[in-house]
Amino acid sequence: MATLAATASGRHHADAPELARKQRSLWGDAVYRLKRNRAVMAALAVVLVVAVLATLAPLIAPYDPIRQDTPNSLMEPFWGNPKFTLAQYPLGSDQLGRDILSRLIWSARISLLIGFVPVTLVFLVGATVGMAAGFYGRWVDNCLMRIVDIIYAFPDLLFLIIIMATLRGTFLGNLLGGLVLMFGAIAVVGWVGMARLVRGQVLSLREKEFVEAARATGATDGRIMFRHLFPNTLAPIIVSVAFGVPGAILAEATLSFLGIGIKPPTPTWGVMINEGFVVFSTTPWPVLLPAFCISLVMLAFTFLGDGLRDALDPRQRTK
Amino acid sequence: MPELLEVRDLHTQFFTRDGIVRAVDGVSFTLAAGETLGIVGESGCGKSVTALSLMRLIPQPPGKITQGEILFDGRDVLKMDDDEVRGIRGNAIAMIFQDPMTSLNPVLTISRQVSEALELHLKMDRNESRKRTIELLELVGIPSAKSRLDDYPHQFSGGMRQRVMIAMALSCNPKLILADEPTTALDVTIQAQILDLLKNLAREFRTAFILITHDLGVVAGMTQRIHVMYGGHIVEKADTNELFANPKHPYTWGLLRSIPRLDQTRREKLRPIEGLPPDLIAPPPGCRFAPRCQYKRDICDEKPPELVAVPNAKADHESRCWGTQTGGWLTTTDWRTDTTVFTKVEA
Amino acid sequence: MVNYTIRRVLLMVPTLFFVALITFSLAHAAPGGPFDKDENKKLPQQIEDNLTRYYGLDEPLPQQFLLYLGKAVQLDFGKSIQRNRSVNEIIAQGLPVTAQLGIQALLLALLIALPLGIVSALKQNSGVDYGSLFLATIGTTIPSFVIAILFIYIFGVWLRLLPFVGWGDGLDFRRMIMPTVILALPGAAFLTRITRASMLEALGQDYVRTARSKGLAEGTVIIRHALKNALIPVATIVGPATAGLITGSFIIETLFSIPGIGRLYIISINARDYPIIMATTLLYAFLIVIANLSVDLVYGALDPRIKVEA
Repeated sequence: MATLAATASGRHHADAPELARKQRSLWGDAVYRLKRNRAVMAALAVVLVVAVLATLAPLIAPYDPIRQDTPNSLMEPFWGNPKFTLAQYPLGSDQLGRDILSRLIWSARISLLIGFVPVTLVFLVGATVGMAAGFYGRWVDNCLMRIVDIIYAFPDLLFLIIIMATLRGTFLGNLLGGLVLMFGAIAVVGWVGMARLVRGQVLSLREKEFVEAARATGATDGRIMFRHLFPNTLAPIIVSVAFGVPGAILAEATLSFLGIGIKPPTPTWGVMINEGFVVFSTTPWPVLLPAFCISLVMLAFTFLGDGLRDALDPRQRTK
Repeated sequence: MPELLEVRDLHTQFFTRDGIVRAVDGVSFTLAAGETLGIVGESGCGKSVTALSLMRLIPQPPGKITQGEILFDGRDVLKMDDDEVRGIRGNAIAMIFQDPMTSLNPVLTISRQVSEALELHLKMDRNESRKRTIELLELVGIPSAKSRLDDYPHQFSGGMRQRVMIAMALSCNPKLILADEPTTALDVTIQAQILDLLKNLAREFRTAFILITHDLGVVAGMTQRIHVMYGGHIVEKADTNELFANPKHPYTWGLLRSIPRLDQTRREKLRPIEGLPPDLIAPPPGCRFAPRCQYKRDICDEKPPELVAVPNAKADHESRCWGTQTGGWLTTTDWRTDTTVFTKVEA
Repeated sequence: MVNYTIRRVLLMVPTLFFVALITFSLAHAAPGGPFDKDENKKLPQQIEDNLTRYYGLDEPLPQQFLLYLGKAVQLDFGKSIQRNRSVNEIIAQGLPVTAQLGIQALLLALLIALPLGIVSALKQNSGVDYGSLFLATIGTTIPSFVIAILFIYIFGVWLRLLPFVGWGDGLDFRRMIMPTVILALPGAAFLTRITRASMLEALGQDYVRTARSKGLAEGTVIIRHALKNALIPVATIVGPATAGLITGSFIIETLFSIPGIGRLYIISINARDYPIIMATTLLYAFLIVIANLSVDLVYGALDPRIKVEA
C-alpha cells in the first residue's frame, strides 16, 4: 500500500482558540487583565471622580475654602445637626468657621497635583540618568551608585523632613504655600529609585541579542536607547510610577500633618487633620472627614498600582 | 511472576483557569520486580505527571488523580491514607528529579539531606545514618565523601549533585526508582557517566526502575522495555530492541528521525516533527497525533484509535494508530526508506 | 566573614560623613537664625552676638563643619539652642522611651506577621489568608496617622477604654497599647506580605518536592525545608522595617505626646534647634546603617551560599 501524503484538511480543529489564548500582545493582554479586575475598575472610578472634583473645584465648592466665619465655627455635619438647612455648611465647619466640604474639594486638587507633578519629574530625571548609567556604565554609573548608597541609607520620610524643615523659610518654600518646594523635595528623594530601576533593567537588556542586532545595523547610541531599550523597560517603569503617585500623596499628607508640609491656610487633607486635631476629642468630624478622603484615595491608587503590576508582570501574580 | 507495579487506566487532571488539563488520560502499564522501563515523549506529554502520580506527589490543587488504580506490591496507592503513602515514599519507591541544581535544598548540608530518609524509614540514629551516608556517597562515586558530608549543595558541581540525588534515592534500598529526566540538565559527558551509574546500580541492587526522558537515544541501552507517550496517552509499547527495529507509530518514527546519527549522509537532514504537542484542555477528537501526522486519513481526525497489538510484530508490541493496525494503510511502510514523508502541511 | 564585617563597618564611615555634610549644608542654607524666632522677645544685640560667637556661627561654613565633625567624633554635639542643656542630655532622656516603643513594636510586628504569613501561605484562599490580605492592604495603604486617629477616636474618645496621652514610666501597659500597636501595624502588614510570598515561593520549589518524595511528614517538610529558605528574604526586610519604625515614631510620638526623640525631632525642626536636629539625624543614620549591616550578617548566617562569596 502506498503511503499517502497528508492533506491540509482536518487541521483546523482546536487550533484557533489555542492561538487566540497565546498570541495577545503584552499591552493587549494587560488591558484585558485590567478590565477583568473589578477592584481596579472600582479604583479607577474613584480616581476619576476625585479628578473631576479637583478640576472643577472652583465651580463645585460651595464656599471659598479659606473664608472664615467664626460665629459659625465647629458646626456639625448635616447628619449630626437636626436643625440643618441647605444654606449651611453641609459637612460642617472647622474651628475657624471654614466650610469643610469646600476645603475637602480644594484639597483634592493639591493631592492630585502632589501625586502627579513630582512623579513626572522623577520619571524624566530618573529614567534619563538610569538609562545613561546603565548604558554607558563607567563614571556615570559609579556616581549614581554612590548617590544611591547614601540616599538609600535614609528613609524617604526622614529625608523629606530634613529638606522641608530647612528650606521652608526660603523664597522657594513660600511659592504657592510650599507646594513648589514639596514637588521638588519629593522629586529629589524619588528620582534615585527610578534611576536604579532603569539602570538595572538596562544592564540586563544591554547584552541581549536584539541590541547586538541593532548595533550591527549601525544604529546610534541614542536610537538604541530610545527605540530598543526604553520600550523594554516601560512595564516596570509604569508600575513604579503607579506606586509613586500614592507614595507622594502619602508623603504630603504626613508632612502637612506634622506641620512641616504645605502651609496653612492652603487646604490639604494633611493640613486639615493637623489643624483639627486640637479640637479632636470634642469635635471629631473636621479630622475624620479628611482622614477618610486620604484613605480612599490611597486605597484607590494602590489598587490601581497592584492591578497594573499584575497585568504587566504576570510572573509576579500571586494566584 | 507477580507484577511489582500495575497501573490501570490512570487519569490525572489539572484544574486551571483556562479549563481542565487532561495531563494523563488513561494510562495503563505493568512493571515486574527488577524490570527496567523507559517512558519517552516530548515535554508536556504527561510522562512526568505519570511518575509523580505514582508517588501521589501531584500538587493538589490544581492537580488531581481523578480515576484509575496504582497497584504497588498488590496494594492500591490511591486508596492508602497519607501516612501509608509517606511510608512508601523514599522507602519502597524513590525518585530522582530532573534538575539537581534546584532539587537539593540550598540551606541544608548534604549529609542532612541524605540521612533524612535513613532516619525516617530505617530508624537509624545520627551516627548510623552518617556512616551509611558516607557509604552511599562513595557508592555513587563522590570522591572523599567523608570530608564532604557537611558541605552544602552549592559546593558541588551539577553532576556531583545528581550523584547525591541518586544516593538519596538508593538510601533505603527501594524496590522501584523513578528517574525523571535525570540527565537532561547535565553536560553531555556527565550524562553518560550518570546513566552508566544508574544502570550499574539498578543491576547491582536488582531495583526496578522507570526512566523518563524525551530522548530515545538515552533509553536505548538502558531499559528492557519502552513506552512512548503522546498527549497524555501511551501511543506505543514494545520491547526496546523491537521498538528500534520495528516501530509502529508515526510519532515514534518522528522521534527516531530526530535523533542525530553518525552514519547520516549530508543530504539526509535531521527531521524534526512539525507543529506543537496538542492542547490538553481541548485535545483533538480523533487521534491526538493526527494534526501533526503526515500519514493521516480522515478516520484519524474523527475517531480515537485504541492501543492494540500490531500485526507482523512481537507479541507484546502495541500501538495506538489506525494506520498500523491490522488492515491499516501503514502496516508495511518502512519509516527509514519512506520517501513520501515531509509533505509540508499548509495551514 | 570577619573581613566582610570589617569592610562593611568601614563603608559606614563615608555614608555617615555624607549624611552629616548634607544635613549641615541644608541646615545652614536655611534663612533666619535660631534666635529670631520670636519677634516679640527680640534678644538684645549684645547677647545675640555673644551667643553667635559661642556657637561658632560667625566662622566660615567649611570651618564650622570641620569643627562640628571634630566634636561629633568625640560624641560632643554641643548645646541645645532652645533649651539650655547639652544635646546629649536631651537625647539620652528621650532615647530609652523611643527605643522601648520601637523594640516593642518590632517584636509585635514579627509576632503578628510571621505566623500570619506562614499560615496564609499554607492555607491559600482560606479565611486566614483573606484576613491577612486585608490587614496587609490596610496596613500598607492607609497612612498610620489616619489609623492612629481612628484608634484614638474609637478606643480613647468614644469607648474611653485606653488613655492616649503620654507614655508614663514605661511600665504603664494600657498607655502603651495604642502607640505600640499602631507603630507595629505598617511593619506587620509589610512583613506578612513578604512572609506569605516567600513561603509560597519556597513551597513551590523543587527541593520541597524532593523532601516530600522522601516520605517526610508535612510538618518536617514545612519547617525544615521550606521555612528556613523562606526566612532568608524576610530577614532582609528588618533593615527597612527599622527605618519605618524611626519615621513612624515621628508620627506616633507626636500624636500621643510621647516624650521620645521622634517628637523631640519634630519639635526641634519647628524650633530650628540645629544642634539637636543634626545630632538626631546622625543618630538615625547610624541606627539605619547598623540595622542594614546586621541584616547582611544575619543573611550570611541563614544562607550558606553567601559565605563563600564574601
